[in-house]
Amino acid sequence: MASYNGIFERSALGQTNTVPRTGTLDTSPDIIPFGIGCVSDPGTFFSDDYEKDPSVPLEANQTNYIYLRGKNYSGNIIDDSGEQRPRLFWTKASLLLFPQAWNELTQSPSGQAFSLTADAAATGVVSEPFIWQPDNIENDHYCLIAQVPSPGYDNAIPGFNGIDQFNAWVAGHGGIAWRSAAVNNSTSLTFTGQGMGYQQGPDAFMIEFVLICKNLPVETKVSFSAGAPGPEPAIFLPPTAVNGPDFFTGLESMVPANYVSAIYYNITFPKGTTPPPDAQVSLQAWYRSGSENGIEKVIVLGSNTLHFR
Amino acid sequence: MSKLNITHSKNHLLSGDSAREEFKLSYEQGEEGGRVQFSLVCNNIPVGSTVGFSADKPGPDPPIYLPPTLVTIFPAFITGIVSQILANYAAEITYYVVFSQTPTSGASVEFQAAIIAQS
Repeated sequence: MASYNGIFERSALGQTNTVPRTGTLDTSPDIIPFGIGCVSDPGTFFSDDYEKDPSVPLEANQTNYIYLRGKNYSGNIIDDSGEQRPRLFWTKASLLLFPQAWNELTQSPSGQAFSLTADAAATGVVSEPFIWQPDNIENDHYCLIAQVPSPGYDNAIPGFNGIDQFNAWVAGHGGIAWRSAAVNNSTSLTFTGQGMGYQQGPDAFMIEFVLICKNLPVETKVSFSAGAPGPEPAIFLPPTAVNGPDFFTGLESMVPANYVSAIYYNITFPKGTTPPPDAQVSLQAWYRSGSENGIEKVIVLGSNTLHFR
Repeated sequence: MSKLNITHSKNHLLSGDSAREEFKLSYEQGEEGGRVQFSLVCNNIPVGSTVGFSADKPGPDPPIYLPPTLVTIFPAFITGIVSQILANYAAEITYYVVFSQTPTSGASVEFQAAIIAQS
């Protein structure tokens, strides 16, 4: 047994930095699938929650977020950025022993590279969540594998001759985490994608983000999110049911200056329905710019219309 | 870039003393018809509450009617409809909140009507 004096990834709650780890290996609470939701301040949220597993099942065919954290057991700050950035892979369990078939998640909400910085004895959280749109899965399940570098430790991914060798590799490497990911298969027609590349500009504002839904079937569920941290509250509209032909829904959020994030939408049609030919949704962002002659002006900062043809 | 001009707006602090709070607004379209966005901006209203509105006169397409709509996010949720309104249309619009639980202090609902304009 040895102490791992770097950014340590647990394989289960309650562990400290002793390697090789014992017990369950595929339930790391430091890989945090968070479903289609996001948080305003992941650094605080997930470090305050370190003794819990706040994960949420992922949704197939929708845009999901996955956070990563780790506790720094060294005596110095560790800055995992650039070539030392944290990495996250997904694979079907049936391909777990074939790293060359793993898929790296490289998409961040802002387009910036991932990083993870942790002060000595503190918990660090990835700078932005990893984005993943998993397919439905049958007769198998998804696995997530994280690789978090620390000075003086080799957390390289080798080849494996069998599951025992894989288990030994995970157990013995404090910068490696493995988690079986729960994914809810979609059971009706679902669309997801980037609705807007949002850029705030040099001033912070209270912004209203809305999804305008035209001719969508009643009970269609719509949601959207911008995963880059900063806005308060987070730009995340949970699934909300459409209840008419010209319906809109959204939220208000204080967006900091120079904020940049892709905004993703998810649209799930009721079972057995498809979008009518004239169905469309428009994602808009606007702010109130003050009154003129007694009429308050609202400036639309961005608008993107999506068709289903 | 398009603009919205808010022509009608009323904001109400909500005490939560009763499970349903209801308000009315006299709407007058004026001499020009157009596309109008009718919104409810909900602040600090508990998730699971419902909001909605309706007008007492026909004419707009679709009608000014938002069926009971679940509040799905806290603290700031927005919902509404877009409707084509004829010139000189006038009606009384009733809007309401039905609480799923007693709101915290500072709960409010704002009804807005905004003409969609192109600049």
